[in-house]
Amino acid sequence: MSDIERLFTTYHAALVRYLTRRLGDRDWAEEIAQETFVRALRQEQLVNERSWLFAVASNLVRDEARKDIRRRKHLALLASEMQDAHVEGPDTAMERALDAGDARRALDALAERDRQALLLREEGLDYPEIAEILGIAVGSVGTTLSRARRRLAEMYEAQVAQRAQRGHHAAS
Amino acid sequence: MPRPDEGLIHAWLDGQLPTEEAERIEQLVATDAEWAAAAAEARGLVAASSRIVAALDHVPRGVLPQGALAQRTGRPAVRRLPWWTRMAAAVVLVVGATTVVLQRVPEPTTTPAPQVKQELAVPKVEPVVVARVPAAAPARTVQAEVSGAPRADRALAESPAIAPAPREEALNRAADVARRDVPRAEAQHMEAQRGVAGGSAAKTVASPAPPQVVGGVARAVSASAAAPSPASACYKLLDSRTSVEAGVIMRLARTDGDTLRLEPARLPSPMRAWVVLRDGVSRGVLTTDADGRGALVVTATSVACPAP
Repeated sequence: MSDIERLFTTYHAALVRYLTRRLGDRDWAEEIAQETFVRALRQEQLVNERSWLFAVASNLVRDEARKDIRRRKHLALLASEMQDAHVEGPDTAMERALDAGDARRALDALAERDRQALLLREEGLDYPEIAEILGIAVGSVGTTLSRARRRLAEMYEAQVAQRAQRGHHAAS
Repeated sequence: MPRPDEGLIHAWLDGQLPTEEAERIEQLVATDAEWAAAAAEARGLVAASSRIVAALDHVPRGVLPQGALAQRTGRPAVRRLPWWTRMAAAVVLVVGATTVVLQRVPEPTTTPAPQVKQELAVPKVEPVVVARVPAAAPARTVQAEVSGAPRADRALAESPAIAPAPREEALNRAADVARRDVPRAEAQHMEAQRGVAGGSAAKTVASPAPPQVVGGVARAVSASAAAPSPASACYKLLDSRTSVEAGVIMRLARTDGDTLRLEPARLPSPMRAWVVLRDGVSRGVLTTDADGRGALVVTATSVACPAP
């Protein structure tokens, strides 16, 4: 792969962002991004480089054994960290952390395919690329995305409402 | 007039429909109230989901305990023992250490990394091992002694005898993954590396065995300089575009087929790199700072390792 620098410059940030959103851990995301580019180095040529990179990264994530267990543990740690932030951090940081927690829980409530489609689209992948990575028909990407977006918004709203209710109970 | 198709509307809003189809949907949205309402709702969902997903970017670093990182590097770890076992082990350690210190001739104070790990991992501890690890030795001292070892080893060396539960769980997971993933060749290579990490104090220093690296890596090393043994191999990294030095000497942490995993020879440092040989050149990706913003493509040249 002679064009690795261009590939790296073009896609590294997006790939790390996609993986961070997917995994909820920046260090882990960077590890997988690095591994993905190393695999790209081994390729003679890439026909559709963007979908190839995101597909390989997605597969690396999927291949991680017991990822769900680790993600749940991570969520628990994140929650405890947010409680710490409640005591120590400024209001904006607290709000942001709570927002991120709500977003994470909402995203985790989606089906895996919906979640992936949503995050890939947020990175600007087009429908044929998403279809190729997910192994679905191009025509069903729109339906998948509409379902994912609706569900994400609903779950997020539910999380926010739940948190507000907890805060209300705590205050009274 | 067809009923609004939500998937179609999202595809239209995403600009993913062919021109003719897009014009048809545009017409429907402009003329039909039901389609217009569906499109407005879809617009809201697209914007909301983008905002929610963007909120995921505020991920604090270091949320996972350090030991969890060992899982990624595929190194073995330890299990937590019951309190009474730890207590008994502590008594054995103190008695054994006292006995040996009183009876034995002086021995070198440097501690080989694998012995540290053995002490942490195995409940049955031999007094001889204890004698080489002062009970009061601070963790940082031990870390310095194993600075040539890979990250997971460092994590183990740093870990206190009684670790907090999340860290311990991560270590346990790391152990499981390591048992499953670490190839035999890599394990052999790491054994050799540990032997050298112990320096002259190690009882059984690994002989300069032939490199465990295979294929392209071996060629890469021999092509660039006198091939050092894998235990001491270090590399200078150059920005592959400008040929400017990346500014740090990296030590070979492990190999994976034709890929080298490099870590800074002098720790601590957030830098880490993967290098793979292709067409006679070892090229790879170097992450230079903790935020991952300073990542660049590099070439690697074999150099002598700096003195510890």
